[in-house]
Amino acid sequence: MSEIGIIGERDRVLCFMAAGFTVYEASPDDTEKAEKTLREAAERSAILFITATLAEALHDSVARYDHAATPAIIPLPESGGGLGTAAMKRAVERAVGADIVFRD
Amino acid sequence: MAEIKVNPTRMELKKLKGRLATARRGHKLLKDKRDELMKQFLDIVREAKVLREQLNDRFSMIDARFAAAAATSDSRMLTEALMLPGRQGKLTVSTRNVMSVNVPVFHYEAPDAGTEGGLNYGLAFTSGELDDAVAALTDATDELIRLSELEKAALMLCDEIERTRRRVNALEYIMIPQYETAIRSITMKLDENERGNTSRLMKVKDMMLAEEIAKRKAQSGDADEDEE
Repeated sequence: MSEIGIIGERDRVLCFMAAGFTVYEASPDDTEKAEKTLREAAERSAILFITATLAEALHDSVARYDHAATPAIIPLPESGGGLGTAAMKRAVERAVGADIVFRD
Repeated sequence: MAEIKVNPTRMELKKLKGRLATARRGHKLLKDKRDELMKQFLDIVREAKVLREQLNDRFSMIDARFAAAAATSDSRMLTEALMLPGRQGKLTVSTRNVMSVNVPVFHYEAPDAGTEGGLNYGLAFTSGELDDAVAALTDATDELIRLSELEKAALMLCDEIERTRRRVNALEYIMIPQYETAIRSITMKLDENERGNTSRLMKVKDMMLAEEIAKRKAQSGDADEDEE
């Protein structure tokens, strides 16, 4: 269970295969199938990157893995980069009570 | 607030005082733990924020290159070129203890770059943009792994901070006041008993005195009669 996986839409994740990541294809339009793929991917990966659109579609299933040490399900960085930053912002708000890191 | 129901005895009082002392000490320790967790958490989050901002910029570049590659070459060719999963690095997972939270530590050994700069496809049918995209992605791998380590640690510490804060508050606003009221009520009850006891003793003493006086009076009355 120590591989780096990436899950998301085919044309977003394909190039990661060349970098040595294990690629799982999932479409945010078919959440049921995507969820199954996510479970399978989470079982096999230590780090699992997820594209923003898919992370949004599978929000609840992704949140299930927040408390365990592995797998680390991390939104993939991308231009604009809303989702990963939003997740950290939420964590700060929960821990501190107010956002003192991301306010600009 | 629900009060603790106890028998007003000295034994209970002693027990409660011990528990209050433990609760106070636990409260202080947990408060310190919360403060230190918060410090570590904020350090991690700040580092993660900087790293993610850097990676966001790099990934917009990578995405653009890859989109260009996809546009300029045949999609079947592209898939075929990328389909072969080569160059898998070795990822080992261990844990690090941050304030008794076991956060994961990822150690990644990049694979050796073989021939053709580590690309596992031929250069003949693909565009240069693809090579650039893959090279940039490979470069970014270490940072990506560092980012996942930091963000995962932040999420786990966040949970722990919440839990610790709830415990601190429970001790501070529920447990300790409850013990204090219970101790006060026992002390008052015991004092009241003590006072009751004293006044009873005084009353008994008065009664005994009155009895004695009456007896003496009766005796001296007898003696008077004898003299007559």
